[in-house]
Amino acid sequence: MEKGYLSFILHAHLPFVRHPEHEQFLEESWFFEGITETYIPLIKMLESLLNDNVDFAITISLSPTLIAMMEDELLNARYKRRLEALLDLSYKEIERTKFDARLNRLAHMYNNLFKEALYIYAEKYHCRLLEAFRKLDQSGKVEFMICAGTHGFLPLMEMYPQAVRSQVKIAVDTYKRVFGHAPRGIWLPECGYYPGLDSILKEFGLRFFIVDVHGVLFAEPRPRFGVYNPYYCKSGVAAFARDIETSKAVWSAEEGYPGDYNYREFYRDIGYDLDLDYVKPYLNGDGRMNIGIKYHKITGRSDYKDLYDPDAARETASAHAGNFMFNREKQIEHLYGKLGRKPIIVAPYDAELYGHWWFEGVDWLNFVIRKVCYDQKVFKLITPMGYLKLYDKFQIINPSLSSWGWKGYSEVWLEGSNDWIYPHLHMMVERMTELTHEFPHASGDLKEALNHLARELLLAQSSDWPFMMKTNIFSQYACQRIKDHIDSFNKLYEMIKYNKLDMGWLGRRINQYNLFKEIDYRVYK
Amino acid sequence: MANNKNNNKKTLTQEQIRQETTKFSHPSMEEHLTRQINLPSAYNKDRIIAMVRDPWWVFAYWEITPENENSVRNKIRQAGQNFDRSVLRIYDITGVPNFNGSNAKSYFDISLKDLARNWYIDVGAPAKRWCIEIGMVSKEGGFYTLARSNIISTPRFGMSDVLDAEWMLSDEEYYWLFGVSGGFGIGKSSMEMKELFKKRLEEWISSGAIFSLSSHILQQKR
Repeated sequence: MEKGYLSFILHAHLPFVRHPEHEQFLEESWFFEGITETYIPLIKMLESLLNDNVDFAITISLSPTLIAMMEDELLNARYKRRLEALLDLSYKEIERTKFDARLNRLAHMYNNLFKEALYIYAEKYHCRLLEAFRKLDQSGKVEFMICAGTHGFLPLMEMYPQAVRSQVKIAVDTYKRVFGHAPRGIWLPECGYYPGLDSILKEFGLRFFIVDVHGVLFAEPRPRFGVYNPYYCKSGVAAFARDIETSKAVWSAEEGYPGDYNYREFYRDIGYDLDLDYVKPYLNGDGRMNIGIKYHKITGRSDYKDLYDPDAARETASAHAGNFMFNREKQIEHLYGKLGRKPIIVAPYDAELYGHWWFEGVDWLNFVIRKVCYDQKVFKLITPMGYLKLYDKFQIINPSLSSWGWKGYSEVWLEGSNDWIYPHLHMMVERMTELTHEFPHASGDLKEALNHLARELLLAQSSDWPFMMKTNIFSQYACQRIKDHIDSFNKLYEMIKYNKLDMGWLGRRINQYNLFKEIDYRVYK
Repeated sequence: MANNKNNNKKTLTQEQIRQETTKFSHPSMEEHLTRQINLPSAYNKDRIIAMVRDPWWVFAYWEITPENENSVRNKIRQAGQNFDRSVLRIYDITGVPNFNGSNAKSYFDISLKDLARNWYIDVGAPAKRWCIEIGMVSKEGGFYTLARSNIISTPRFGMSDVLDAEWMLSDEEYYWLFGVSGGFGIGKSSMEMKELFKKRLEEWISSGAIFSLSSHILQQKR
């Protein structure tokens, strides 16, 4: 019998970025890179596990904005073109590197990766990646969670429960439509939890969520099993806490696996390295950018980078997987002896870490899962829901305000660079609520307008915007996006309030931000 | 005031939206990401909103309409007093069920500069409930409220003292468990563990080292 469990949770999210008004748009490449480098490799890996009948369990959260982009015709068509262009470039690269055997081999590697991605994307799933996720869901081995509507950071909405409710409701409704059944778990954006949030989750039938370490450690009363067991909140919703050791192993820049010198170097991309005229047709915008073809390995701390060796990288990933498994065996054996209950180690990561940032990460995950299944008997993989079925009783606690952002609370999203957004965001919620009370049973154009008003509010609430302002990465885009949503919201508010709807303008806005078809403004009552 | 007249119009179907958008192409939309947007600097509504940043710091922003300000200034005059300064008054209302402005456990004031619209407040105390008022203080010591905030709670920082009779452990066991859970390692004795725990918690928060920066895909782009 196993002595404990490991629960991998991957959180996949990107903000809604879709610009039909531009032929090419740099920020859309976040989505395109995510598909090529993370989502398709993950799908491929999970399907291989199913084909090989490996006994495994994994949990994946998909944010509603990511789902919306995966469903969008325009983005799908653009992505397919993008992938075809990459494939085209990879053929050119094979030709360009034909006199250098080591480079040429790498050019072939990318050529194969793109061919395979195109096959999976276009032929196998007809540009409908959600089809692949639905199949995985039906396998029973992959549990999908939902995430708040636009990835709004919920602790900073606490004073407006209707705003939190709206973030949760649109998420649950989207999930039901996509998967044909209700979600059981929710990924709280940035693991942001505040006391009382659980009762709103309860209203929508959600059964569990994940918090950071101190969400549970600082809970009241004292948690009996540390972070190695779920707890129920008074509402009956379960909280699972992140494990530090497994986080460090993968996240930490110093101690983590992804920093190994044999792994691929993220920052040496031919989008920057090669002649501008040569790569120009493959840049998704005006300036240089990552294309996704990278020929070097991390090599060491200096700027000197040696060529990438896929065999050595694969061996390293396998060794790291063995090390990870060994450490979990020791950890779980140790805890099992002390706890008097089988521990669960909850290991959540941003999905885009795998493949996109840590190129070999998906291989590593594949190795870990297979090794855990075949090479040891100390622990098994499990989903949070699976674990909740193991015991009749769990301790009831009040988790503490917490997030997994820098310093553990709300500072990332509330500081000098981004605090200016809150007077607007909060006024939008008040105005939304005001109009909902004024028009509790709207229909026709008015209903369309009120629903879109809610959409603009949700889009403005993405935690991505203040995050980008704080980190000063794409902050100009973030500022412009949030201002655009605030401004459009205010405009539409006035139109509704004074009965001056401009349906042409509204139609264009709805066309531009075409997500959340099931939105219902009445959630703001 | 708006009314429900719009209800009589035909519903705007997706098909209509599509037609409408092809009809207009997107001249106005093309600029929508470069256009200069001037957000309102005020919404003409008296309010002060409080938000928790972490166990020690809270944030408040406010808007006070000129009408409200004038009426409070009048009130001060009518009371035969003289305006001295604007302040934020931060009330500790821990354990106070119905805060009414005068039953707080304690309070402290922060004097405001004229143009301040928000403030980060070092309350320095986890696990307490707070309410904030913006108001005017008279030279005679009177306090006149302009607006009162929502109620907020700073979270506890550290292990709770509340024990669950059904799920008891010895102190040593708790410290051991918290040490491994928090990645602090394991001390030899419970006293050592207590000290270590305290020290590590402080390091933990000041360094931010164990917290991952999320949204990795964005973070890693240059």
